[in-house]
Amino acid sequence: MAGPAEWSVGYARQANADFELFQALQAGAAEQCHRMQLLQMACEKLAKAHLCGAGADPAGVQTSHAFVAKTLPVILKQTAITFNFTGPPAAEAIKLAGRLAREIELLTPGVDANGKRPDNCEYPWEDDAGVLHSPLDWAFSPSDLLTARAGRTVLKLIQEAIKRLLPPT
Amino acid sequence: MPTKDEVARRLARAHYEVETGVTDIYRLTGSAETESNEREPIKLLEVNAATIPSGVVPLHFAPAPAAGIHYPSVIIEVTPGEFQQIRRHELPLPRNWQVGELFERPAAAAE
Repeated sequence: MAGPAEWSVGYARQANADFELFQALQAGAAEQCHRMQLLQMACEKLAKAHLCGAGADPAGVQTSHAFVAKTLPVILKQTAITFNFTGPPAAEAIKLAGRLAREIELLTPGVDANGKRPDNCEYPWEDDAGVLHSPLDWAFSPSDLLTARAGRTVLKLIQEAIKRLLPPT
Repeated sequence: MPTKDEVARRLARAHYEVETGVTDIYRLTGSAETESNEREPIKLLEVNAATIPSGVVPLHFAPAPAAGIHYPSVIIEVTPGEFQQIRRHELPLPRNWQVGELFERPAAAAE
């Protein structure tokens, strides 16, 4: 049976692949919903890699998507510190990471803030007025947040956090 | 090489500096025998009003010697309400960890 360290690396490798594809799509003409789905998947697996590393039951973490809001800011905070990235620029990035993490978690179809946020990057949904929306037409807030001054820094921290978990090549 | 206690203080200070929402950082400890093992992570419990109340979620981090973090670490972030539940033993910590020393917020990292 695979141990926590193996699960952690397994999640990290998938997170890395998802994040690389997200970056490739960012540079192209892919729909925003698809780019955001890749970012959400990468962040979720990054969170699960750290949870497994701390001894969480792998079967337990597999069944939920609601880990990113709680864990991503902590992961990025620690990553910033390991790169000696501190002071006001780091604080600004971590503050943005908190907002971004909440919005990334809401991209998952199964996470809707008790029905208040049915928007997600995978399936169409109906709003309170009965109007059907498609992810293809929706403007997702994480995409806006990434254009903030610290947005690029947050993406770099996500990338570095993933790479720190990968086995040496 | 700095001791685990020294690195724990350094780590707590850095966390205060980059996260203004963190009000208190406590050291979590296991048994004396466990803590004497260099492979046993430094464990910090951070109280943050800006996090979401979803329980005790330990996150593991590898050492980062280049940044002066020579030991593995585990970070748990909770809301003030969850911290009170931990204090009242209504919200258990893993592996019988106990809430230990409070690291004071450094003056340079004022809220």
